[in-house]
Amino acid sequence: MMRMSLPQSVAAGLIAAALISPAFAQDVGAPTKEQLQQALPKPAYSPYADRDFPTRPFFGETHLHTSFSMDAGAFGARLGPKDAYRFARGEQVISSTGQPAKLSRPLDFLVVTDHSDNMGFFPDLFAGKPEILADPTGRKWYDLIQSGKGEEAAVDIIVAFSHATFPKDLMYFPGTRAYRSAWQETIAAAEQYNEPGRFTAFIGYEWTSNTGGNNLHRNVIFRDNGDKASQVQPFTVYPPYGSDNPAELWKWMDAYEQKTGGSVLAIAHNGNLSNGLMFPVVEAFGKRLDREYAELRAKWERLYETTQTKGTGEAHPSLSPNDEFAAFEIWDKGNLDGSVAKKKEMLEFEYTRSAYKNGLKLERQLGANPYKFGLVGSSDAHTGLTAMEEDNFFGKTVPQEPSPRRISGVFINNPATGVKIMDWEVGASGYAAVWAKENTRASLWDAMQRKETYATTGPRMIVRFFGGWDFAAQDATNRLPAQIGYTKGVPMGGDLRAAPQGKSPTFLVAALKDPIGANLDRYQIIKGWLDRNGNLQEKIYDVAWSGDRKPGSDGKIPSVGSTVDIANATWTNTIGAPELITVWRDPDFDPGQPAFYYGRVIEIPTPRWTAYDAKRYGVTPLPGTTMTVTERAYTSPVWYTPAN
Amino acid sequence: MGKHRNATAIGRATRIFVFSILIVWSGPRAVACGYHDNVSLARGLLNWTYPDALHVVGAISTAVAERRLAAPATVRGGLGYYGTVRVLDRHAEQLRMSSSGMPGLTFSLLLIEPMLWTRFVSEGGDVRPQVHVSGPNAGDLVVISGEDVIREIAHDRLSFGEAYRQGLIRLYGTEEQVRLFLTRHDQVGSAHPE
Repeated sequence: MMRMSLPQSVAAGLIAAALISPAFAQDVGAPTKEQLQQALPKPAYSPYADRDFPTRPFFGETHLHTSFSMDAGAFGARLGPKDAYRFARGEQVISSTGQPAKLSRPLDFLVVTDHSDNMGFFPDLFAGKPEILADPTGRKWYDLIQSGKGEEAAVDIIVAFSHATFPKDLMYFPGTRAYRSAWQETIAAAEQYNEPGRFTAFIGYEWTSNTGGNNLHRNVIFRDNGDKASQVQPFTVYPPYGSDNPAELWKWMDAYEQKTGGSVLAIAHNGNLSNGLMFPVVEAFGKRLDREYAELRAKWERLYETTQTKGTGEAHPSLSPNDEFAAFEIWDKGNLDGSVAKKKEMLEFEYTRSAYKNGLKLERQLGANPYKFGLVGSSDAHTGLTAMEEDNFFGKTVPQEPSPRRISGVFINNPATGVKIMDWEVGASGYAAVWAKENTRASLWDAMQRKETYATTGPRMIVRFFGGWDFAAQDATNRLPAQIGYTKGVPMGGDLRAAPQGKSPTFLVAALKDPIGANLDRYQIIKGWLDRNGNLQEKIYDVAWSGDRKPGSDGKIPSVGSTVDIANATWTNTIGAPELITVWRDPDFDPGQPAFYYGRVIEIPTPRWTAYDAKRYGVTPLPGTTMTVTERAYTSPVWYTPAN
Repeated sequence: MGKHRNATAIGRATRIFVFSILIVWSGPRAVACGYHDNVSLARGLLNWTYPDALHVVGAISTAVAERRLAAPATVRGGLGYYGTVRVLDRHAEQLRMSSSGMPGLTFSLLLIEPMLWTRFVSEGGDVRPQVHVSGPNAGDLVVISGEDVIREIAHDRLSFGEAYRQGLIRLYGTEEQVRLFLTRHDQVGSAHPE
């Protein structure tokens, strides 16, 4: 609830003035703070005085790898965590392929999330760290590298891994001096670049469960500073120190909080490469889902990464055939390593919308909803560069850094399964937007915890989404919608419960275009619900759109069109709108049916990174290459839960 | 075909741990990993073994964007390989012509796109290219560049010295090796040698 009291600073100033004024004191005595508050008009002249809600979204990245991740290092990444933080906060750096790189605008925060298993091994080896050289094998590898036989050393290392002959003393396991050193270096980088109020450098890591090539990764983010984070070492996957079961990660998180008094949360990786394992509905890791599973998952996994370089996972066209915007940057050919081809029946258990729907059903069955998560986007880049702008895209891995060849390169190719993914299919996506009161670890993390977040596929559009029972049309004419939104409703990530008699949910929604980006096409609300027959339903409502388009016979707003000149990689803002705002009431509401609502804001079409590359390098894309993109944002939902 | 064996070994091994960092315990399942773009991985390791070797990629990309270097052809494969061999033969002939009877320099050239190693062996005023070798010999000067750069040099459209100054070629060896190499080859590829 918004407070409308006198600003404390003003009150304090007046009180101080009274104390140092003998005349004032002699005449009427010093007023109390309470008296002053009563005496001054409410609200204050400044409509912004004493606001107590988030007033701007902070844009950042919750999933970025550097050379400390073993796979990133193997792909040639030379930038470490410090480089990554420097780049994210707006500095120019030299990429691993020698190219100057800089963001169009600084980001507000970054979490470097290197893989917890074998964190830091590659840089340490090539730097000749004492821990490595103390071991005879480590010494041998280092000497090979120094004598120009680096490839021989690399093969030796990798074969040692694959044949389980890797020297135990060189393994970067939790508890070893080397691993501890790498983790401390990661923490130190975050501590060095964390600048409260200006740029937040979170401490974090990625737990990399990947059994059978099925991606169940989670990014773990600390609310805390290094004093607490350094009391533990990351949870890994290797037994006996770690596990590939997320339930074990949750235990680790709980133990961390118990030990340090700190706080951590986890963000599940885009599930589109999990081959049906990210959002189970029956069992997980051989154990039947129960209320405890649902509660623990909802407790620890507050957010979900719905878009990243390896595809966008909000919805799938075969799951949502009536959604003309569902076929967006879809990766549905197989699992993470292409070792198992995708089957249609897997899709339901790896996409955001279907997880939200199944969550409603599970809540009815188990008494708790395991999939009540908020949304973010992030890159999962393995370059140390969170560069996800279409005209400034530095790829997912170092081989995909800008070059005339990347548009025709192959990313995954498994002839045995037929899974083949081209480099051009990698998306320049995305970022996380967090509605926080200030740019600090605590404030941003708290906003993540309450799911007041949204995902973008790259642009920094500003998106509001409030749910309540009493929003009225005139609320959308106010230039301070947030003030009304927080007063009369709940923001994205919130809950509506037990509908008042005769009322339907209302939503105050607003979006502003990215200041240097494209105009907006439309604002949609996606609703999912569990009907009275126990069937899951979904429906998409166009609630605000540009121009004077009228819904067609199918109820859908016609296409906004396109101004994209692919050959020149340009577009104009002659279509679309710079802002959209409205109040929408659910016309199909049934107070007895649990539901979720989230916002989707879609930009007008713009050139995709492939179009920029084709123009920049004068290369011809392969047939079928996607050359335009309709960037978008996805808000965390507002859930409705019936009284009983 | 030592190079082929080597590349296969690198590729098989690297794809085991890339994105499957759990190699030790997942064993055979991890071997089934589908990342078959072995060349990309071999190239990635190069950035460590020859520090910042991949900076030639950035330099080449900049040169193509500025139209100083032709854009690469999309179609690759066998024809690309034999075309590249012809370029390397032509380059060897350039080196022969430029040696002017001076003792030659043996060096190893890596073309970074296909990760193709070629040793240019100098013997008695002759220069023989050994294409598709497994890697440099101990003590070799290592020259790292791209197919399109060497093609331009071989066709006398770009001098070795200019390519080096533009970052299109990187050299790895002792200071004396690098100095000598640059002195000898600065004008190789120049249409009008000074």
